[in-house]
Amino acid sequence: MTRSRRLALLLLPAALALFLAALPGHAQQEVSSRYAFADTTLLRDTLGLSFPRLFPLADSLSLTPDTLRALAVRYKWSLERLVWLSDSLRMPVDSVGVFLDRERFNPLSSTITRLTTFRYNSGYNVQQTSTSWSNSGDYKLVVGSLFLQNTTNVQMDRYNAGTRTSLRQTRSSVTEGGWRFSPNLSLGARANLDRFNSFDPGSVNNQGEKKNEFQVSLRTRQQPTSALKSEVNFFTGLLDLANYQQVKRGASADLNGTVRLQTRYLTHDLSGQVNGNLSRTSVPRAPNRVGTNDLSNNLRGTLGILPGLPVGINLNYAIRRIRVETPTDTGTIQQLRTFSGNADAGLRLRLDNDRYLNVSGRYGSQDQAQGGALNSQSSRVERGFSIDGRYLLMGWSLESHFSNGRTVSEYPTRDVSGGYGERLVAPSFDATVTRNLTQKMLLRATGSVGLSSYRYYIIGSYKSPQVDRDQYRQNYRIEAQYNMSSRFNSGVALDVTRNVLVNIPAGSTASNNEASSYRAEWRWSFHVMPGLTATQNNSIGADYMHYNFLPSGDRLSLSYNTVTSLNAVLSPRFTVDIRHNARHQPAGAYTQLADGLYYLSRSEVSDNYTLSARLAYTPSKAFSLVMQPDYLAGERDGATSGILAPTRTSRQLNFSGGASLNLPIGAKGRLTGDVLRTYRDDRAINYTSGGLVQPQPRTESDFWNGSLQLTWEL
Amino acid sequence: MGAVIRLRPLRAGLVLGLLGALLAGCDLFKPATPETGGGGASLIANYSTPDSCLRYIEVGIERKDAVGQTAYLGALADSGKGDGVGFHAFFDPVVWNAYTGFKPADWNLDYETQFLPLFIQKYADPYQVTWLPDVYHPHDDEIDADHMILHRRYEVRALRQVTGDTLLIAVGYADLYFTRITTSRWAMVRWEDRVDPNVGAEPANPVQRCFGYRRLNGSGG
Repeated sequence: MTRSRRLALLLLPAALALFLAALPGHAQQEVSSRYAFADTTLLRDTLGLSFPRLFPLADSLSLTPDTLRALAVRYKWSLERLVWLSDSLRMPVDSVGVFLDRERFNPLSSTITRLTTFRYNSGYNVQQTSTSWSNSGDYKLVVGSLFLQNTTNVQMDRYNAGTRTSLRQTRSSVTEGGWRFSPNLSLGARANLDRFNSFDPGSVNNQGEKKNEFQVSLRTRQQPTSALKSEVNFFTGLLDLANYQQVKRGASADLNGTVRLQTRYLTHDLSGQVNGNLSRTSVPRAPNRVGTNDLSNNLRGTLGILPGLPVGINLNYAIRRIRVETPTDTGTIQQLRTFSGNADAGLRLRLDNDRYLNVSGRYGSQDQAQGGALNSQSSRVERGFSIDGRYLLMGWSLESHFSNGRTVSEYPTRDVSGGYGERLVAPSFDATVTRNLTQKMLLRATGSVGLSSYRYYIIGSYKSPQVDRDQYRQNYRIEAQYNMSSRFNSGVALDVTRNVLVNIPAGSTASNNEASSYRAEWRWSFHVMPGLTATQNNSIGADYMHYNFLPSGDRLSLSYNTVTSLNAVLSPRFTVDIRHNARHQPAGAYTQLADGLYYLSRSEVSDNYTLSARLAYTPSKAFSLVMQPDYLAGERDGATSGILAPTRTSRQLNFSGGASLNLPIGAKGRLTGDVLRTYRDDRAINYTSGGLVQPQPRTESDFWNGSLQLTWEL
Repeated sequence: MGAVIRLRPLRAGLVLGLLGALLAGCDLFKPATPETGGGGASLIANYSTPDSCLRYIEVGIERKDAVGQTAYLGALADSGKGDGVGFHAFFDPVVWNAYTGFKPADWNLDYETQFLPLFIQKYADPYQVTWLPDVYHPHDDEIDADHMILHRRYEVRALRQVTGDTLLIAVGYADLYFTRITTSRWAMVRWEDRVDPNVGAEPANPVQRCFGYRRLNGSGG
């Protein structure tokens, strides 16, 4: 059966499922079990933010919980506010912050006739061998129809290497002033200034780049109907770029715009940009300046059909084309051309958050070429489709995802003789079942399988193509959690993975192998008394590596791991966390004995122990003291003539102590961050194969580290 | 209504069963059968510690053959293979800023796979790779039991057969982030490259480049 017929067969149940999913649903059931195994550390409050309903919200927005949390922390908005802004602006949650930041500097976005704002941020970050100091300010003034705005960023990094210091400095400033003729038209002038400097003590040519652009700016807005809005902006002016590689002077222009159509049944967001320059460019070793012409086109759009209905279609597309011209030392012009285009279309059937089916297809293409230089050309074409769905069935939450993709990549000029092409076919399937077995017991089972088939063909007479191969992977994991009471819960899990590497040509099959991993886990958490919680994670694991044609290379590694932690809240202001980790890892190879059979013989054993604590005292919301000692001990034994003997012993002590700040500075300023002093002591002893002790020198370090950020607004 | 509710599990079960049967029966996920033989060179790589990963990266470059490349790439995390995390390389800002050719937004395992054969074929002479302590970061960082950062100075030399001397073709520092993937396998997830300040981003000897420049420049310039 051909692959295409197999895939057609696969679509049959998908179509059936689609039919089922489109039918009216019955009463929604509670599916909290889906989030029972989620990482609850993400729910911890930070910077005055809390994250209620993080997992259901992230699930319904098709984001990972940590991404949604990071967005909330980055913009210091609550989840409710973030989602409300996303709804009201009708854009994805991860675009809201970027959009609002950009609109702050769009003179047409505001109808205020008198405004003065100023915001200043300063951050200082110090690490063991580097420091970084950043300063940024943005200023906006509106007086009637006149506006003036500026954004400036300065960052200075220092890297200390013994007595030598490397410096990197980046500075940028954008200033725009103008006149808003009407709410839909403004005209002004803009200056973009960028600087980059680098100094390395050992460099013969330290770098610097200076870029100045002075432009006329035209911003317009249109709204022909209530459903259609657009923006067109145009900037043009003079370009002056000078760096170590080239000096480029000429005229530059940037035309960009967006169109947004929004009706009840159709939404379409389209944005495009064309920018480029006409310049005279010189390079250090070229005899003359030559004319160069850079051009970049970018178009992207999102089309949504029936966005608010149970059945909808989404289409995303993007096309990007870039051409950059650089003179060579001989005075000719070398062109760097890149092109990328991609589109994905999806059919979405959704009854509610627990019953949906998505079918999508994608196509992408990418080309890159840099003059006629060797190894400068490559192309890639990707086609694929995926089906994913979720169905809640009598308390069982079923989730599944299937995808298949075919990618063809070509590298035609690897050397003078030619190059090669690669065909990759990569189907994958995974499914998850979650169920509340009883009120106190949850069950989740997950399975996945995937295959990546790489096939190569020669272009020209290239002699070193890669080897045809298949990589297969399957995994299943079954886990159960028992919540006996609010004070005690426990869980077990079994995880099994199999990886197979198959090199296909006979001349390269010696390294074909199969790796099987088994891992069992048991964890429990006990709320011993008010303010004290004990948690323990135990796991045992075994990795079997089998070489199909080289059994003497077979290997087994075992692992026994226990992590115990105590979390104590001694008072509302004082917490103590203690953690102990013990890991024992024997490993060995299989040796053939006189009876012809292979036996496992231990060839190495490693033991690692970590004891760490964290003490935090928070006398106020603005200030807390932290102490964090860690002690690590490691022992490693290796086999010599079949007898285990020590090969390495190591000890390490780390101690960090310092303060965290979240201080208001006046009514509109804030100082946040932490300052720590870290002490570290490290000692190791190596043993030769004869058992001789080779002590390594003891190393100590003691340094300040941390970061502070000051924010102030007028 | 009750009848409808009873039928739905049947329908959904039928779909799941049919889907599973098709996936299992159509061999879509069955790897190809290799040609018989068991021939070719083999290398039993061991990635049981971050240091042993570095050892097989070293061996992978020095062997300069397909087996070596497999050993090198095996030390890097591959999200497509189910590692759960992928390999990414980062560049010293001064190298990134100075380079005028194509600069990928994300240097991942795909790019590393394409780069490696070009690097090892750049010079026909045998290579020698040395990992040295990073004098500016003498301690490796053990983040927790499953995550480590090794700080190393690297030197790659071409052992010139004609003249008998060595040519330093890659030198610099790297902060190397490792994650434990399974009980016995660690993999590098991040290579943060740093220019040796004594050599500089534009070195007096233009051959003595850092790995970041070698990566961007493909065949090595």
